[in-house]
Amino acid sequence: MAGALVPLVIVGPLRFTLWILAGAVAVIVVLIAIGVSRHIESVRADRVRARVRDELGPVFARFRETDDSTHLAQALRPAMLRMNAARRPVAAMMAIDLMNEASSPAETQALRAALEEAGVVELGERGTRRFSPWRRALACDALGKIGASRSVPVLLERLEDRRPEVRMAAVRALGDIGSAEAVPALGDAFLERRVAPTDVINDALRRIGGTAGIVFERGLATTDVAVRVSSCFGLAAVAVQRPGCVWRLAEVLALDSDTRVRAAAAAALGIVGGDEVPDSLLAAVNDPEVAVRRAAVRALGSFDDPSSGTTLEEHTEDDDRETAIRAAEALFALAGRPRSGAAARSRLEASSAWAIEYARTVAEVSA
Amino acid sequence: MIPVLQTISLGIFVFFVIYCLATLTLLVMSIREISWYSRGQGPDRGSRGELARRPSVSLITPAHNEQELIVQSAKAFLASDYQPLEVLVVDDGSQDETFARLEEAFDLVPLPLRGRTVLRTAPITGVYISRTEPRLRVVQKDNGGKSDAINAGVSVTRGELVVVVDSDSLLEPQAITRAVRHFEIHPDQCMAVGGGIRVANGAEIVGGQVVAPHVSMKGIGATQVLEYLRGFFATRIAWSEMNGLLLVSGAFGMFHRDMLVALGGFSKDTLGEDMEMTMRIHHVLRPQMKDARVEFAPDAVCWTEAPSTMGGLRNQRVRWHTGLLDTLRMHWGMTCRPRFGAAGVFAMPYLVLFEATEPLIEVAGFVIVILLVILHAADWTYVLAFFLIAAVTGEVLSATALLIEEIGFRRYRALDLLRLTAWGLVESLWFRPALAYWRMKATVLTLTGRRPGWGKIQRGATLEKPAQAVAPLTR
Repeated sequence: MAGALVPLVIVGPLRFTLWILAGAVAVIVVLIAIGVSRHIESVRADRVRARVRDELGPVFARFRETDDSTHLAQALRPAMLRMNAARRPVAAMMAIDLMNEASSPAETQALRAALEEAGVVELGERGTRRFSPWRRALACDALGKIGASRSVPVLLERLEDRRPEVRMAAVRALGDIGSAEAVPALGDAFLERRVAPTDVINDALRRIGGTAGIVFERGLATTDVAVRVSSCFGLAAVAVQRPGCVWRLAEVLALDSDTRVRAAAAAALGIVGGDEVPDSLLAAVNDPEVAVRRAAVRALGSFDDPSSGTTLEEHTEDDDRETAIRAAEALFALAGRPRSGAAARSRLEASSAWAIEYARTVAEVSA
Repeated sequence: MIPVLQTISLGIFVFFVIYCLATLTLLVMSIREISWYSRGQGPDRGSRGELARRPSVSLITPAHNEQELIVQSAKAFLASDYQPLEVLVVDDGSQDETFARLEEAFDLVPLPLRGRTVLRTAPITGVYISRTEPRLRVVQKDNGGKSDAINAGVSVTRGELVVVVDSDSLLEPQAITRAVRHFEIHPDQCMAVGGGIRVANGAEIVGGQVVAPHVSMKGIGATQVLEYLRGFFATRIAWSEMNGLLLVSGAFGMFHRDMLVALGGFSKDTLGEDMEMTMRIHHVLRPQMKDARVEFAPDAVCWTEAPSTMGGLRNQRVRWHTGLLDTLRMHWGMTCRPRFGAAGVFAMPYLVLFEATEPLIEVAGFVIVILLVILHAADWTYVLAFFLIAAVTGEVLSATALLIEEIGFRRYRALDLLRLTAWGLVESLWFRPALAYWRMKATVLTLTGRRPGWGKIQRGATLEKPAQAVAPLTR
């Protein structure tokens, strides 16, 4: 039996080998062909870019010299209509780049109007429904960069795209546009943790501002720790529009059971700052969790409140080295403030704590 | 005897085909993902502002007797476009002028630093800050090896994220920003990010930056470029997508500092401290945090000088393979366990089968084929077929990796790609057998308890209290 198998064992692989070799060579040929075609495609794309640049260069140059957006729109539209499907998106991206380089909001506005008039926005909106996901994502990006507020409904549709990359691009674009119309949909997505990563939606809501603050306040009441953490930072970012947020954050710092949320609330209070330190922030410097203590002592440096000086000085001797250094840095921050400056400076002069020496050296070197 | 050898040779043949198919599957998965990068749609796209939280980053570079390069490396690291960034050079008991040159170039001032560090390391004798570049800190410590130096850096550093970079590597200015983007997008899930490591041999370097990434004319350099593209670059994209990445390279890896501390820092018991840490992240964290991720950032590029002599390559590969075997031994429990996700179910078996045991099987294959010829049980056609299969299927993998490179990044000229294709055709004749032999040697050394080393490793007295347990992650 074994003897009969031997020729099969030897001959089998040999016959098989020929097929494998033929298949492998075919695969290599196909791969090389794809590689070469990709290379040719990219070279061609470079040429298209160069041609578009040549064609639109004078139009853009004239706009830069004269700031004449009417002429830009008039010249851009026929130029783009003459272009084929491959060159039109390139021209649109060039125009958008020009907008990003605008020197003033008025220039941005003029360029935006010109782009809308030239049909770039329609082109982008059509792009959001293309088959290729990367084209859809690029179109969303483009609409966001243009700041096309009329495209918000189209972008809201893309929040349900099957590809996460496209959804994320739509969220970012909505943030770029900054329209309050997007807040309800983005708010739901943020609170339910769907559509896109929490911090990406947070970023979009933060840039929209205004009513987005309500979403963050609602976020503080959810059971999801990640949403609560993100909401703390979101609320801090819109604090100017919602002055009461300090007390809401202070409440979270005092009552939330999760260390990460308390640390985030303390850090967020540090971002907001103010004249009067909330009691919960003063209490948080003695929190058993080191992450909360670290965030709290740093945050104290953002409040021009003389009452925090003693606490900070005590914590320059904290067991945790990072807390000690942060306390010293916060004392130095207080030393530069009008109300608490004098007391803080005298504390710094009198203290021999190593953390204060550390912060002093870093401050001197950095200066 | 002969039928047994023939059956084994057939088994080896089948094993090789399975290896090629598995790797090809990974490469094909990578193509899908990489097409996003080719369209400017990588994770850092559209980064016009900052997200709600921009983490502070500390770059740690351990240096031991690096007097020639250390000043240039420190300046190159400081050229990163990421802010806020601090660069920490850890002088791991150098006997040359490493510290003196840093002191001279950066006008160092001692920092008073007391209290306990969070990781157990050899004694730290001083911490300094630069007057000319306040973002630079230098830690002076007794020699304790690479892991010990990194742990000392982690203990002293203050950033939320820690980047570990070899002091002889060249980091692209955007590399840190691109790696951080992964943490910014998934702040609660992303635990570590590995950068793309590329071979700098043959590249044109100006002011610590690679300006023209040409491929070396020498076979050893060019073949390593190909090997990195195939094995260390293209396949990692697929592993990252599956959340089964088991190696964040020590040449350029980014970690949550709190997580590193909670896990007790880099292990000093292995030469593969980077792989060990990556596996530990999966092993310890995945059962607690289902969505914990280790990601790969192929566009965050770090250039490294690969060995340019066979002796240097041998030492490196023996060390790497020893590290791999150590790490597999330490984290064997993850293998085929669904609770560790793709890392346990796919990546560990792949590593065990195709990385750890593959050299033994490959060497056995060569020996058996030669034996069969000597015993007249097979003719030279069989031998030729054996080698042709190895060469051509290997070339399929190389061509796919080059295609990924061309689609996603287009770093190399057409001439370089042709050169790489040509070296790929002949690597089965010299490079792969050499690697298989060295890796088998490493296996034998490990099994017999004779291990290679980084150099002299001393353990100093414990000054500091080590981390006791896995603490909850906070930011």
